[in-house]
Amino acid sequence: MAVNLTVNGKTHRVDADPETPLLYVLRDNLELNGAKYGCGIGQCGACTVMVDDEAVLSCVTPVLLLKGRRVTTVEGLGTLEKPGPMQQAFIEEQAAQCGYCIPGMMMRAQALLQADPSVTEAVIRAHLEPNLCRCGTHMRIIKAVMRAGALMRQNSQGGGAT
Amino acid sequence: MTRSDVKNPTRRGVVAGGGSLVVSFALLSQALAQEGEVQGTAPPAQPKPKLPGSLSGDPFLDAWIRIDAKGEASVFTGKAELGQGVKTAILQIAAEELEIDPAAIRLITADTSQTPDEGYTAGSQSIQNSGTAIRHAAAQVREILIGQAAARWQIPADQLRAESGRVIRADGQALDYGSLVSAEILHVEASPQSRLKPTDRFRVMGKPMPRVDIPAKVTGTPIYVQDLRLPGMVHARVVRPSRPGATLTNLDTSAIERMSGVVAVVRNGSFLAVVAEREFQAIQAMRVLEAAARWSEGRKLPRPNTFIQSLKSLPAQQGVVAERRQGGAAAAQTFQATFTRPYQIHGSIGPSCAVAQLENGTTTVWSHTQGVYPDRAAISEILGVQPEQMRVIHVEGSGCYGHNGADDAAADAALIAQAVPGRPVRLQWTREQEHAWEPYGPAMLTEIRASLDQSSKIVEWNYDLWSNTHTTRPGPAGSLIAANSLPTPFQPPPAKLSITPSGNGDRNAVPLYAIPNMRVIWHFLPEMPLRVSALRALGAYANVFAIESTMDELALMANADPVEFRLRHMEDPRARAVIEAAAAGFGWSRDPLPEGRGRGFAFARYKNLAAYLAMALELEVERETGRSRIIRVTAAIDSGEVVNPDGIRNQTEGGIIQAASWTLYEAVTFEETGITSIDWSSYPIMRFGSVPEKIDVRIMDRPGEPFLGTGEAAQGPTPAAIANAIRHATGKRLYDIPFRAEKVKAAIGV
Amino acid sequence: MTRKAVSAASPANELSFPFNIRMLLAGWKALYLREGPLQPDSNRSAEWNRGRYLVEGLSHCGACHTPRNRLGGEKKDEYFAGAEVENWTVYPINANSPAPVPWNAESLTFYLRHGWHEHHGASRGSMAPVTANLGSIPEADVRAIAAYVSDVMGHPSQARIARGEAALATARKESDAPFAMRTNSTGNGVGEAIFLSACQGCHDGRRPVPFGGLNLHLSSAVNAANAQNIINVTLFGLPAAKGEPSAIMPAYHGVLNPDQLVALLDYMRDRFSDQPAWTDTRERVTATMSGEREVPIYRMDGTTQAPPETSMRTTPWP
Repeated sequence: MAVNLTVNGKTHRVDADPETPLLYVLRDNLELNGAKYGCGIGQCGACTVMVDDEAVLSCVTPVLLLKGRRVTTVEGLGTLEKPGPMQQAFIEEQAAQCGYCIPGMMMRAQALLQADPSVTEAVIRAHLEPNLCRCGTHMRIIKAVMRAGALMRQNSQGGGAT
Repeated sequence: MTRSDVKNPTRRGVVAGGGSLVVSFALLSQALAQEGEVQGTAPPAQPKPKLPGSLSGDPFLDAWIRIDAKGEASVFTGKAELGQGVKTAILQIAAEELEIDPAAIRLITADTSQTPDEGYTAGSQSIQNSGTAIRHAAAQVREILIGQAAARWQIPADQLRAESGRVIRADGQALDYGSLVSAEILHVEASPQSRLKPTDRFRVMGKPMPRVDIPAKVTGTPIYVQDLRLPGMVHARVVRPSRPGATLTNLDTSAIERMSGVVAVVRNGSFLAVVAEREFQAIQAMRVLEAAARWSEGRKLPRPNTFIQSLKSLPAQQGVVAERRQGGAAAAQTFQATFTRPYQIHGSIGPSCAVAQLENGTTTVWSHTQGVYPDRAAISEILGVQPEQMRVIHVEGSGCYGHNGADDAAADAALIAQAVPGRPVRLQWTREQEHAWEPYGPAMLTEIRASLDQSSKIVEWNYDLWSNTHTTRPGPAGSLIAANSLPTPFQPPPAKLSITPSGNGDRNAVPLYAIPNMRVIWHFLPEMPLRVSALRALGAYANVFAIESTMDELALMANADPVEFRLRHMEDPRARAVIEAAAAGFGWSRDPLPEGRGRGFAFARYKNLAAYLAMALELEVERETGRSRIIRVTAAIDSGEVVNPDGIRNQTEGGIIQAASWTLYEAVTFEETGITSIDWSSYPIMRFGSVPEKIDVRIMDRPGEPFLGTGEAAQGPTPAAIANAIRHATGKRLYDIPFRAEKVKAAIGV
Repeated sequence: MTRKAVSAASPANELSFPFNIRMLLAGWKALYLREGPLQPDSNRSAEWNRGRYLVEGLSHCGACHTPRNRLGGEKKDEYFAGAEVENWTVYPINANSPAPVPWNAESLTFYLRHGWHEHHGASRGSMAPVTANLGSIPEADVRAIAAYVSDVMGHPSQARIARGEAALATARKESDAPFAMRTNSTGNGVGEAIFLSACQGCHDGRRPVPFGGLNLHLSSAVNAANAQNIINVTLFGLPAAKGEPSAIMPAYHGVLNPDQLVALLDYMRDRFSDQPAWTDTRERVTATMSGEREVPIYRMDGTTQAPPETSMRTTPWP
């Protein structure tokens, strides 16, 4: 069955049952690797992506719900050649060990910072609660998100003509 | 291993030349005893001669380093990137000694067709063994190339230098490495000594070079085995019973075969799997297959409530880990206690995954196994083929922290691939399967009886530990779940007691303190009611927990400060240095803390051979709930010569948080009918809300010292530091990990 | 004493007008305070009396479970008739309890103590902290509370008992054959498709409560006067406890738009309840998603009893 899905600004027509969770459509049909399978039952956050402006768990989001919605994955935040502020921050802070949980962290943080780029560390901690990291990279992830917020604020300020 | 004949006079001249830096390898013979040795083989009786690190297993330089006519360098390591940053560190090492920009080096990791066999990437030995080998090989390759240029120019080698992939002479003329290499020039055996670069000339080593794998990981670039996509690939899921030992008695596949996309149902004895075109189809088919399969009862698990006590009554073999009688004063005060640690999981965030393909008689497996060669040996045995008919290639998975389900997933994939020849099969475990079937860190029970003499010095130390083996890695095919499920099952090999310097269940069972009378016994338990294997730090986690908790109790008896008490008994200057650095960095004092807060200290030298780590932490116990919250941690670590300081810091922070999660929250739960902790709701781990406010890692500066294994150094001290802090905060000592809220409440009597 | 004496100055009053006028309390007390000790009822057991003492006093269950008048006083003639507090719907715990399987003293004791029951689901929302606290008081007191409350609920009629057993039977049947049910789409549109694809996987009852989702044939929420609790749980989930095994439910805020949530709720009411359709679902959905109805979210701390943990040592070993 064919389903239309808008991901990272592009609309795709995918061959998938409408009840298929978004996670498998992203990985299997669209070959996007950012969102990861961690548990499939919404407990770990490795599958986190954004739908419109909110962070959602793609493993419990059947694609039938996404008509007319915009999906953003980590691939939509930038590329190897041109990383976006969130990616740049994570690279600068070296905020990864195995890195498996990181795209999920980034997407949850992205939704938070898009709404308010000047959140405090306490807010970041509370907000990232649904996402698990087993390597213990938490301290760096928090620093990276703070840094991303600073970069985003910088970009938005420098965006206009001086 | 005979010394190689040095045929090239220039090289001999260089190696023996004045001003060369020669590094002593006295420690390396001990370091070569790898954790996770195949069961049944005896550990080396004598230290292996003479070639540094893993060079002794693969002495030819071009097994490690090749340079082509374009001057491009390839470096081969048998070690695997587990997220610990080893690829980056090895690149730094190779780049430094080769005098090539790291970005110009191609690093090939663990591949049975391409790289040396370095056994497992485990036991924090990658830099010690592979890093050392590559450092020496690179230095020797550099000197060979300099020698080549010297011969060509007829200028003495010591008037030339290597830089940025070229050999340069005094007047500025240069020759690219590419123009200096020729056919077999690197196909020579390594020499036992190398001219290593001194630390003060490092350009790359010792600097925090950014990890080469992180950019891919934050942009979704394919890098994990979970991301592998090959033409014609199909998706598979295995189906397992509720508990081990159960056999498949009935299976009606009619409903599954009709399902959309299903390619095959694989049944081989009690090994059961389904293959489909699309991943979600495989998942749906798996659920139907689970419902359609009927299993025999299998082996009952032990009764949970009395389980840990019962460890002492299982059949045991005594192994003497240490024994020392040096007399001294009489015992004046004695402390004794029993400590326990439950089964705990690796808990990789990404469940184990492998891709396998049978083509033209060769089965290729892409896996995140820690040991491509041992896994190949085991799987080929299952398939009934020669190892050469298989190729196992390491591709990164999520962090494994030891022997998790990776090897089993590889075997599962390989077996399934036999049923769909030509097509690559991607096999992914579910979360529940990973939680239930991965081998656990073994439950342990330890007993301590230690005494102080009149002058409050430790005079006697008796330590007994009860534990299974901490490694059941393949190795033998019977270590794999798939092998146990076949119509003629491979039996798991019997576990054998083995006392080695780097230790197993007895790792770090011998305190590093100066104690005149000591007896350390491992009551080895061959019977394994639950499947167990290597979990980060092996026995060190439970042993250092007991030792360092005891040190604090003895300090209390001696009316001494815990840090000062440790220093009183510590002769090793590097150990003293980290203890002092951690205490100073933390601001250790005896000043009173606010109500409910405590401070705790702990120290260990990992394996008594690897990195030294001391830590101080402050935590708060919430009286009403019994919940503990770690506020801040300061750790000092001595890893020898520093390759990548950021890597050391990252691994240490991570080890502290992971071990804190084990200590405060984690225990596998089970009933007789099966494992009940099968997901994150039933086996919670630390989330952001409970992470400390601050972790500060200080790295000791030790230029010129051998590399010391670092990745597991924090696991041992962390539980003790937490227990000591809780003791300080509440006056009560906890002896049984995990320190869950209800247990703390019960202890403090709220 | 388990508490040390503390010296602390009382902070200034922050109540808004007219509540900051202390003298007005006199009027309140005149209306609603009956002074004097609670007299035990000699016709009742000691346990019942203890229960009444706790329920009327320290536990003050009626503070949430009894509706209030415009002055904020509990409506004594609608004792335990249910209310709405903090935008969570508080169920009636009198004869009008919406639970498909009727409560009794045994099941109430277990639920209050552990924070879940296999026939009723997990305690969440504003009730979560209540059961978390009741989990740490002496069991005898919880029994007493349960004895009293179940007495207020009264003995269920035969018809009610039979309906409860039918609900259990249906739930069991569904949990034994989850996939037959999955393919049984009646083509009933969006709500069904959402439920089958996003909810069924956890809520088919195959995995027992508290770690598996409740089979909704047993749900009080779906039989309640309005959909608010299901809206809250669906949008905000059940966040994991800190370091203790607990139920976890993911949050669907951002996944479902208002139309989809309304369709899902209508479907659930239709499939799992015999009651007539809810009338105010859309208003509640819109108000909750916009934040107009502010919903406090409670972690599942202390609301579940972990399976036995092997190292829980309470007495020294030989």
